[in-house]
Amino acid sequence: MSEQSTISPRVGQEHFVADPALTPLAVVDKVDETERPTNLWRDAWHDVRRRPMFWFSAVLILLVLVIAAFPGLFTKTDPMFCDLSKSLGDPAAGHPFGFDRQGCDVYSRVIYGARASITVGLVTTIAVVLIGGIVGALAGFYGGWFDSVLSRMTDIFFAIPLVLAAIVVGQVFREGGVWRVIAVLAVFGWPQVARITRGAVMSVKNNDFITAAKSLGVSRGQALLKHVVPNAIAPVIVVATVSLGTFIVAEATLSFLGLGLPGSVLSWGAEISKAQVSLRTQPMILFYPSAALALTVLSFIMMGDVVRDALDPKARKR
Amino acid sequence: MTDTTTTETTGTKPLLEIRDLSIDFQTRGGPVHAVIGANLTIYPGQSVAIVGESGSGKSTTAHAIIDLLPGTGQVTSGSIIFDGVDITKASKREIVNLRGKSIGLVPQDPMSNLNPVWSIGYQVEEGLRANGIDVSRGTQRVLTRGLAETEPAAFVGEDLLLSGDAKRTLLGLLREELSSRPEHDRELILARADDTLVTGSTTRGEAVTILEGLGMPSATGAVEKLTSVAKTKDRVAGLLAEAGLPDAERRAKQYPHEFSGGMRQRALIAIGLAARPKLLIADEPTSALDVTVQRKILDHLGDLTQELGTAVLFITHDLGLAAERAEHLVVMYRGRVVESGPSREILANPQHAYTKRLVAAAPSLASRRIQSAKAAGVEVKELLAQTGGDGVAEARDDVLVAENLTKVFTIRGSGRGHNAFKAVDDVSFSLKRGTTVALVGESGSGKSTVANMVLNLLEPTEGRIIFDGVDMTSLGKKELFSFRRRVQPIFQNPYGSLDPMYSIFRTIEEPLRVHKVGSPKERETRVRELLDLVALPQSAMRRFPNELSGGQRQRVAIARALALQPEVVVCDEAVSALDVLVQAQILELLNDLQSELGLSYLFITHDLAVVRQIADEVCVMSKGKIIERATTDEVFDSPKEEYTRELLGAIPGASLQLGTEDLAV
Repeated sequence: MSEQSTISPRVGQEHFVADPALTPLAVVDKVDETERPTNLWRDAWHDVRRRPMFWFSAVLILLVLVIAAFPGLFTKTDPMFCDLSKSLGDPAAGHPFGFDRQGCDVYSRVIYGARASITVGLVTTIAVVLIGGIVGALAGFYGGWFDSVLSRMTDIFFAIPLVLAAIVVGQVFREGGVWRVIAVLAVFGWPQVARITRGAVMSVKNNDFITAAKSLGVSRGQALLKHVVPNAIAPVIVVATVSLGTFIVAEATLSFLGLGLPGSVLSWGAEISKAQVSLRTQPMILFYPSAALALTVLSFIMMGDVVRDALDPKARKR
Repeated sequence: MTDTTTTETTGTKPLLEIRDLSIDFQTRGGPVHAVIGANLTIYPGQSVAIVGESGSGKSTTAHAIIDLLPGTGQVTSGSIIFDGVDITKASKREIVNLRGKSIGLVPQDPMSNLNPVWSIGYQVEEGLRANGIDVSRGTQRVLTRGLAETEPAAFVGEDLLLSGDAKRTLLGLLREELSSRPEHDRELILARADDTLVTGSTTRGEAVTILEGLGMPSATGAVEKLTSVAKTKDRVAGLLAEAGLPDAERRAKQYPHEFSGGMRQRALIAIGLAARPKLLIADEPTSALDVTVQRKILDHLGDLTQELGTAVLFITHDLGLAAERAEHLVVMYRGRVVESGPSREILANPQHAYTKRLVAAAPSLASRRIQSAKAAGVEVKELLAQTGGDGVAEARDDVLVAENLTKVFTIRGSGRGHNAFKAVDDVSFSLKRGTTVALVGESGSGKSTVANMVLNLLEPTEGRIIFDGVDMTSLGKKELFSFRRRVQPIFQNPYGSLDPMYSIFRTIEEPLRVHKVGSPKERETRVRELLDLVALPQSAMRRFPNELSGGQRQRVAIARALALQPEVVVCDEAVSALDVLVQAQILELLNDLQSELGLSYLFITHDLAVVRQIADEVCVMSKGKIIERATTDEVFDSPKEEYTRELLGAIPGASLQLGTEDLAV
């Protein structure tokens, strides 16, 4: 102690003590009771509503949904009423998009075509999330040989080309209409969701809170249902939103190739397919259903992007 | 030793001078002031430590020095003058020039700071190349020019470094020279020469001295004849050897995954010092390592930087470690420097309320203080675990007995078949009701495996666990379910042990719900009671884990563990991830709960300093075995095993003199 007093302190190195008033001591580890409680979903909502892209895609999606549910609100023209004398006719009063080769009103056919596309997109997505989610969660959580079997099964379905499968299924089941298309897309679309879910579940299941739950006496099944799945659901929602758009495209592709919806059902894909013969004389007939399709898909994909950003675990405060 | 250098260099210009530095981070809720008006001075060759808890601004300050502030961080005012250049105003190019060459950095996490796809040697070499240090060509040119002179000077290239080839040649010559000696002697001398001649680090001049010392009078001539000098590859090996990596030439070819944590940290030190910077910033350089490794590395780093005359800026949360390793301390709290000055002075005579609090709470210091207080014959009740009187002497029944526990894991080998790995080897201990047994060991010692077997999450390969007189291996599913109520865990990572989707209420209520205790109304009352018990406000109930700090989450975890009124609580590194003040608080809470509820703790930890404060009995584990088992006092006062002594010695602050007089704080 005595030797220290002999050292002459250097400039800026003397014993310095700050004014205690500047940093009053806080209670160690005090809970902030003023801030409003938040959680993942509330944070995500807070984040999302400041983004113009969210509102843009939300409004578009809402609009498309309303059109699909109540097409009659948007046009009084019957899409099935065709007048050959107006074949490839230019837009006229009450017929803003003109007429196709058969002389049908393009505008009303685009409006009525929404229902098939949206139905296929929504129902397929729900089916895919259910099948893929269950398979992926079980494989990821239980692991071992169970995982091996389920994962190989996923790989097999992954390896079959969708169009080839659609041709085969189309040959075998000629009936069914919309439901046949949904079934084909769902049966060959679930592996992607299964993979994502499996990965998410595997990263969650090693957390201490799962071990803690087990040592409380929570059974494995309950732990999976109550702790793992809610924590693994975010990436699945993101994939589902994006793939909703791609399923609509897939339906259009199949219908374009004549493998999708039967001719009696109005759909954007079928319209595009029919319009290709008039491409040179009246390209606008092709443009309108294509634009409707592109806008719808775009808004779902943009929504997926926004949701992904909002649910990104790295962006969350710890 | 430090005192003399201080007096000698008084009056020289500071190497680094930070004045009134303020740093803001832009966030959604407006700017956050991370650092406010901080001052800091480092003189050449001096070691300074910034001490503070997480969020105090210590790392932010250090990162500002090398202009590597993360994200939206920005210096809003003040200056950082390094060697006459103001870093806050310097151009990008100037700063890039400073990094590595003048200011080195040893980062915190050795696991993520080495690129796994490049060999260690390549990454050290990168540190040389990025700073334009080309050993190969420059030195070779000096040597060739010297040798080309018609009448060479007496000794050419004294400062040049030895190459691997040259070293082998010299060893061969030495062997010839010693051929007359008896074989045993010769091998001994050769081994010594092999150790002391370090490729890429020993200079030719030094080599002569070493060889002459080993009995080779012709050394000067032999070294003079050497035409090869160190290439970059040799220098890389030399740097690694200097950082304390054995067998550096071979190790340099290996990849990060082949290295242990300590070896990686040594490689990072080699990289940080590769370009011989004037200042080395060591950001919590050893917090991820085992205590004994930590000590060795810090010792080595201290020696090396002193030899090179490098100034060191430590960033740490451990006051004991800081005071032991640095001459000068800077204590930061909530973005401000609250106290700074010579280490010993601050430790002996802390002035600011926060520093006083820190000095009182640091476990390493507390454990040292108990030790010195005992030596002085003073009884320090408030610092020691309370067991209700002379805990061990009292007749208490064993609530938990582990008998010859063994756990063998089979590891899928790279070749054919499976390898058996004995993680736990014949471990026996008993836990008396109302007391605390600590299992102490370094990573890989098998202590957590024992905890998992006690929690019945893992089945022992051999041996049994007797809980309250019942052999647990004989339990059926139903009995096991009710056993779960009586033994509960608290885990290390407060971020991982709570389900982020569950509100605090749901988290604490879950065990009650699972075991169907009471009506919803009664459960809510119980949750409120539990929150009171762990000193959390009842309003915290509606919050989610991500809104709470680490310490608060650990309180929630404790509340959850206590919900079913267990008899035994297994604390697996329960306080290791927390700041010292919070750590002290949680330890106090655990102590209070023990005396209040008569709990028994099995306390798993790597930190002997913490053990001093909480445990009645200590089992020291190493490589799956319990090597020493005794009361805490016995272990600290008269450790029997070498390994235990090593662990004790690794508690920071061994060299510090702590009087008992400052116990009052």
